[in-house]
Amino acid sequence: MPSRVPVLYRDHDTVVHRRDPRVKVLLLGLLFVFIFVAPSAQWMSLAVLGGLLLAVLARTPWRWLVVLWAIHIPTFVALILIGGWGSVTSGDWAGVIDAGGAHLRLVLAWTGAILVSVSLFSTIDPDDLSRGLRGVGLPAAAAFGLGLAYRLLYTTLTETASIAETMRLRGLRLEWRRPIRFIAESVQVSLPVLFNVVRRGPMLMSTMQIRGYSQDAQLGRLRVADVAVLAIGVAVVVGSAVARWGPLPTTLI
Amino acid sequence: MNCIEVDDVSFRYPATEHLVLDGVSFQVHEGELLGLVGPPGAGKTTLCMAVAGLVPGITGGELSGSVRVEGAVGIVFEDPDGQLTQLRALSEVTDPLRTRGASRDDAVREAHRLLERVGLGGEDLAGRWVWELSEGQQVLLALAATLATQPDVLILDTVMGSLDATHRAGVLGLLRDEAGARTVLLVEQDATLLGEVADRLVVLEEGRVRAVGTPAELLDDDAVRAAADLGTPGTLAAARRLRLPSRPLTTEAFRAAVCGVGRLPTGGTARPNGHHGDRAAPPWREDRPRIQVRNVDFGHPDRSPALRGLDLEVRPGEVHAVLGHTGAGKSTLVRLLCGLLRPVRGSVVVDDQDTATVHPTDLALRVATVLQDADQTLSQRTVRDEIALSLRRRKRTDGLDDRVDRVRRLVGLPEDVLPADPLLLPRAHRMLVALAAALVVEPAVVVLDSPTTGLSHGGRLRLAAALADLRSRGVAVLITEHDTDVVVEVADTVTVLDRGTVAAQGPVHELLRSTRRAELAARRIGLPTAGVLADAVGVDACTLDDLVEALSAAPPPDTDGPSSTEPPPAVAPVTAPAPTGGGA
Repeated sequence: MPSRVPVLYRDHDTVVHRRDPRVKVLLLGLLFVFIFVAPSAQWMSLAVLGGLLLAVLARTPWRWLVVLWAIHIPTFVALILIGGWGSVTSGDWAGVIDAGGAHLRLVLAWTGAILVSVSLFSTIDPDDLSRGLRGVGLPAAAAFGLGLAYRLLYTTLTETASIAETMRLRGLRLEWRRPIRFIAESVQVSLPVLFNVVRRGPMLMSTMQIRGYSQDAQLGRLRVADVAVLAIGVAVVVGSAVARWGPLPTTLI
Repeated sequence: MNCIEVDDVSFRYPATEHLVLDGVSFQVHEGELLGLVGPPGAGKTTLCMAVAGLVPGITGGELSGSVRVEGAVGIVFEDPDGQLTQLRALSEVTDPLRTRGASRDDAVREAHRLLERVGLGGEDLAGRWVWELSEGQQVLLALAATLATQPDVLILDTVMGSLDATHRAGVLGLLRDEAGARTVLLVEQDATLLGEVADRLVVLEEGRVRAVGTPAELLDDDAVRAAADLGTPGTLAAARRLRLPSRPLTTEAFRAAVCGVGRLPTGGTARPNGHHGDRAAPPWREDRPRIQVRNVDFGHPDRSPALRGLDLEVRPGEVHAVLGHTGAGKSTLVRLLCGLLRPVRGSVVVDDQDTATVHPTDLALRVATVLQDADQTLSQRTVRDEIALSLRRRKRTDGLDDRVDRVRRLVGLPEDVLPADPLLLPRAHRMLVALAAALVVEPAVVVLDSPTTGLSHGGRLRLAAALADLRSRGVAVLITEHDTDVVVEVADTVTVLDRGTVAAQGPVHELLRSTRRAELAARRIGLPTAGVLADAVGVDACTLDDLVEALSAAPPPDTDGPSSTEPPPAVAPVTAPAPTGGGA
């Protein structure tokens, strides 16, 4: 019986899907630079807007976005509470709101990163990922290794599901409604998963050594649209850097 | 000219004193197909890795002696999923081609050709994720990817066990086509297969070469076969029973031998009151079924197999086998029986419990289930702890040691294995540990999904003995299997699944007879070996006993060819619905 694994990639023919994998890899790199460089919440909101635009254009599955964003809500709340802890204890809710405002840049950074990266990854055929990495100059072995890690993420999910099935038959109930017990039992599932990953290591390395991997990504030249998208990304990052350290204002409006 | 020269090779893995290979020497000629055989732990896989140049570079450890190989080596490992490096099936084959300079279009074209070559041509795998494929499809995909590297030496390490009859025949055809053109090192424990295709055999035992010779020399030697953990090839077993003067190793040679005799010795050595006669009417035949599957539908939202209108019953003391091609729905049925899946329509009642109303963990106390790859879920420090785990988790520790020991003996595990780390055992032993771990609850129903995959000959015998024991205790057993020799050996009744529907159902001796060859082949199910031989000489048989009996009574066979066009026997399938579209 085939395993069913939730795969982020969606096989659509959109303007984002058609972009060169090298450009997508470079855009992801630029995103992380931008997050550290953007000087204010207003600049950071560009990442959120860009991410939303990408999500719409790429027809990114909204469930993925919502789930991944929702996972971080406790982090957002914790950031605000820690920043405004004094105000919370003194009942000064205006102070809490101020603290929230102070951390808005961080919340937007997180949100933008999720929107952009999930949207981009949903358009990169996983098999093109290592090709894209090679195309931007990463050594073939490293690119292949990263691609393999991406693959292992999925196959480990498959294995976890299959091992959990056997473990349920051997006495682990693995019921969500008992979260503490579920976590404790999950640890017991993780052991054979880990053993399998370790056992598989030499075989994968053997296969890689025998099949080989080349540096040539065989991607050809970038199209005009690819260059234009990349130029926009570079311009935004450069703009934010100039705003932070140069003459541009740190607020956009 | 020698293509492989292994000279006095010894090897030990890191942090161990034990020599896995101990002074191994042999040569393989260019274009030769060499069978490498031996019991679990004999060092076969390690030797293959040494020939492929992966030892000690990948494994670590100490290697002495020399291995010389002319040309590139390709290797397909036993673990199908662990050697796939890409996410999409097509990319698995195109990637090595593109690595070697092929353009995208050329690589895709060649990949499709290779997939066709290994028997995956008609299965629309191109866009599928590798984890969506069955174990057999994964093995064939790895083979296609390996062929894409254009190896001069092809090593196949225990890959046949995962394949259904059609895929297996396809790989055998490929090996025959490659004969002479490519050197092949074939690790297998199927003596019939080795007799058919191998030029020579090397027998490994505890890391040493026990014997080297042709299949004719070695497979007829009981001592060598015992050392190699090999069964008797079907042709040879039949020839011995029929007291034929020659020792045929292929179906053609068997047919020639039978024809050469002209008139078979009267009487043969048939056992008219053999165990199958006993199995036809178990004492619990009239009991209420322990497994009742009523009009069950099940469907996945994706392309995975579905079941439609499935009806099935298994009574106490009955061993029921479910046969079917890859994707027919066998594993889905197993998951329905142990409560991991729930039917969309219909009901599944096992040991008087509706599986929809009970948690699988509770059901597992009465229904022992061994899923495919159960050996990969072992996690305890010792085999003893592994077997005891199900009872410990449920705090049922009364007489635990006795129960562990009882089940150890039931599955045929040696006592000295109990303190061993299960992860360090050969796969064949890990499979038996997984089986023991399931049976330790002393269930009323046993469900086994492809239990013989990865088992050695000895392991299969132990499994058959365990099933016979369970059967004698009135346990209802359901197994899924694609090896019809195993089914004939252990099962009473059979259900043939085809794309999620019941294609045929009935006693094993009626459904797996040689006269049903075409019907079974259409469902991608092979005949048992005795049936193949019977078909070749134009008689009707299912087991070796049938064959001996039929040949002893029959006039000399017509030399014009097999009479597979004979009408089927009077007993027809219980149900034989026309397969509908969709599903797998």
